[in-house]
Amino acid sequence: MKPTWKSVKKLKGLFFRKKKRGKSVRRAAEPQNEVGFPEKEKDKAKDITVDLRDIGRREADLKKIPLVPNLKKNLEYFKEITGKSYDMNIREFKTGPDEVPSALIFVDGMVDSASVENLLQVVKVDIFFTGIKEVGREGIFETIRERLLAAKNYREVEDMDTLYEGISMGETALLFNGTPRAILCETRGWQTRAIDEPESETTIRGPRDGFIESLRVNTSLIRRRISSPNLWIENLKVGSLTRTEVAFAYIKGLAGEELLEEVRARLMRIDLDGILESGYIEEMIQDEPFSVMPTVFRTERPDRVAAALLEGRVAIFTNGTPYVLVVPADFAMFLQAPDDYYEIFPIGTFVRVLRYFSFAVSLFLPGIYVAVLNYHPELLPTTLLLRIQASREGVPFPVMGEVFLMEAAFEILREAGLRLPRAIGSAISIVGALVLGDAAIRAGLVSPGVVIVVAFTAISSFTTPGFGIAISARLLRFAIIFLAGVGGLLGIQFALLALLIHLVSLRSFGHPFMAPFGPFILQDMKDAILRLPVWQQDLRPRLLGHREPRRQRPGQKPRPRKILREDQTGRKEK
Amino acid sequence: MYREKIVHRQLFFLLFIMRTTIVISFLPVLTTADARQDAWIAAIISFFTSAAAVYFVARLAVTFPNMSIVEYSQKLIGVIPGKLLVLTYLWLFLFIAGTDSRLYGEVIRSGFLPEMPMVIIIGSMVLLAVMVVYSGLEPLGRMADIIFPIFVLMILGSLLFPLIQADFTNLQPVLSRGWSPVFLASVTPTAIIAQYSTLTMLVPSLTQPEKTMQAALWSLFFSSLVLVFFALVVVAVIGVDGGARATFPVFKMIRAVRISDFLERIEVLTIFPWGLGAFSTFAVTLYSGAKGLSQVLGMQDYRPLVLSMGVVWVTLALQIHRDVFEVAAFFSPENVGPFIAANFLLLPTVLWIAYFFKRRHLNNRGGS
Repeated sequence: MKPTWKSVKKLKGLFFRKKKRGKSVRRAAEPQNEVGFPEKEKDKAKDITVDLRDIGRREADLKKIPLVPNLKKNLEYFKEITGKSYDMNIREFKTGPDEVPSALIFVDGMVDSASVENLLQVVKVDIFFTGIKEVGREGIFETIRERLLAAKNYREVEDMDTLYEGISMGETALLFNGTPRAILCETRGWQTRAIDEPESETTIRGPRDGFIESLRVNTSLIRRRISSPNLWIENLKVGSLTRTEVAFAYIKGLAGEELLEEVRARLMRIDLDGILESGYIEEMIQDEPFSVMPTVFRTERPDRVAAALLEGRVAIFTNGTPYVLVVPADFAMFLQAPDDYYEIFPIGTFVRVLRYFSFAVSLFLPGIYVAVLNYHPELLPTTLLLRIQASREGVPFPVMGEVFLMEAAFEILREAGLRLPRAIGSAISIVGALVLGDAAIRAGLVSPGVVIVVAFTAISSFTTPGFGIAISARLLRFAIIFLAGVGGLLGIQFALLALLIHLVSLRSFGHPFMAPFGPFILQDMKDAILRLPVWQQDLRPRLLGHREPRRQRPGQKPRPRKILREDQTGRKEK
Repeated sequence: MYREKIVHRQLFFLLFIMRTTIVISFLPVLTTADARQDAWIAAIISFFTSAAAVYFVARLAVTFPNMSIVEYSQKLIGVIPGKLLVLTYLWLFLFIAGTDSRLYGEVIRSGFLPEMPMVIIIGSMVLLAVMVVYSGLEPLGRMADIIFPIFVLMILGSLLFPLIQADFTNLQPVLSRGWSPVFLASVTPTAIIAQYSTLTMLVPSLTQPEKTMQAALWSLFFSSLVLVFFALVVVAVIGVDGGARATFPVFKMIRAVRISDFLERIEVLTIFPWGLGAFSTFAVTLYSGAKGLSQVLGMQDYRPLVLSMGVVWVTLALQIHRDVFEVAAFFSPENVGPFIAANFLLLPTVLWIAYFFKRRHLNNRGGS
């Protein structure tokens, strides 16, 4: 059946009746919200600062307030909830031929002034140029919404809570007397940091853009890299007071549905009053809350996030932080750097093997030094042993004490270097290098061997790209030194096995943390310790990309076209 | 209930590591007692005898792919007799664990940390086994995945480095004293097969139980290969008398290796995988024991038993043998042979007989 005007009218009637019903419900709800307000509601000049409700009550009451047709009352309520906040701009004016009282609400500093001015222009001036004569008191809302509004995005709200939420996100609210609704226009335009190179993850070759503190910009950085419409980004609000926007992105049809369900459920479960950094979310969604090992990967680099999405992982963006979380995480991820993929593969493999080695060094070297010198000096070649023993002549501490001392000193130095204002940062290096290093050796307090070991360990630990696991290694190192001091190489073996047991029993969102190693998955070994050429990476990680295992056409090994090769040898074929 | 699964590859790794670990320390008995320079022939013979024994036990396990030995023994010979008889196996698990851990402690103490108290050496390893068994069978399988390559590399290293000093004339004359001492010497490596009894507890957790036999026999083959090579290399490097006098000839051999001035004392290469191997053995036997006991007692989960079993085990390991010589004496063919034969083969024999009588009945029930 073709839609006729009659049917449309009928529909309209339905619509109106519905609206009315809604209205009556709202009216019924009105007495309820009386609870939320002080006794003398009629007293216009009451001082809102003497409102004595506590925060939980205030937040709960906020949820109950609907918008009413009376503009004055609405504004009163609004002032009631926002207090004397100086950045809340309420601009009252009269609009249209009937001079309907209206108001414009926005937060200074969060809106783009040009857009707001444009909006004012529309409702105050443009309305007279439309030729619409019969804009009545009731019709003005519809007219403006349907015919005049030039904002790129708007929505209609019916209660104070969503109204405020929109305003606090940089939208501008338009209210008209006589309509129990408001229009929220998209006028966002606050200052953000420029997109620049992430300081914590640098590369020689690779894109120089990094995430910033704005969620929208961050998701756009991903959207720019993955153009497929199957890049889906869902969002939700977390934090009862901060109401932080959190979004998670995935490739629909690639990421496992159970995984998405799990991510959704875990994010929904969070009930904190504030999310100030993605670290809060990380701690709330971990599988193993007491583990030292990070089971959630974090990065500042959009290219890493895009690569993870292409493997079937999920990225969680948090407004207000440049760190994006990636789940599920596995051990290999923490030792991969973007450079591995951007350089040619032999170099990528070499560098990555080097990195695994230096990760092991950063964990075990001081422990091995202690164990060998204390318990198994026979394992060292004689000349080396003599050399070390000679340099330890007169050192007053046992080997373990010495190593502990220097490691602790180094950790303090590192922390101090991090906290110091940059201008006096160089002072730390002078104090650290000269006083602690050189002078301690000259004074005979520590032996040069220990300084070498500690320095080499420190440098090795800097090669780990995933900061999350590098700090875990720092922490574990002390435990290993202790065990080595107590049990020699037996203690180190104990530490290694205990660490491995812990690692293999970890799961990140159901995904085994040590995935390509334990459980051993041969096909994923192509990108674990080794990095095979891109044209051989035909399959996605088996446990993640099981929905669509093949990622590219196999057998794409590049070779010159036949004609070209023959050209070069000079034997041109006809 | 969610049943933890391991893959037959992991079973292969575990069995290989378990057997090879003990093989390395077993050579004393092999070389000293009877076979002398013909130890390698004894090793080859032991492969065939062990394969027969493993087939005997594993075949039955594969017949009941979804049941552990505790469950199918009850099915075959009745609940009470089944539970009673299966205790011999549970005792065997505990005994293997105790003896192996004592052996491990003796190796570490004699070769590495002479002043370390035995209870700490054994206790720390048992604690690790308790940790992994408590985390479950899946982490145990994954540990096998990770340990295996390290283990194999180090075994290869400790086999290849000594070749520099090998003198293969030590191996002559072949079979100078006839076959009988060689056969006698093959009893001990065959007896170590008792470790494969844990197979009967692991089969129901396999994703593909039908591949059990494959994993078991291949692991047996490769570990026997390692045994043969070690038998050859040890005799070639330190000679028959050197091997006969040492308590742990493999370690003595590794210690004797000296490559240039810089590379000497590479026994870490053997001790370290030995530790990893010992850990795997302990974990598997502990899991099998705890799982088996929980099934005998009708418990849902084996985890409550794990820690207490570990404590009993450490005590047992300390008390079971007085010193390292007693451990060595236990492994001489005339002692270990009958002991293992009784414990390892009694239960499967009874079960096989019962199976032959009940087979038709079982098949009918399965068919209907």
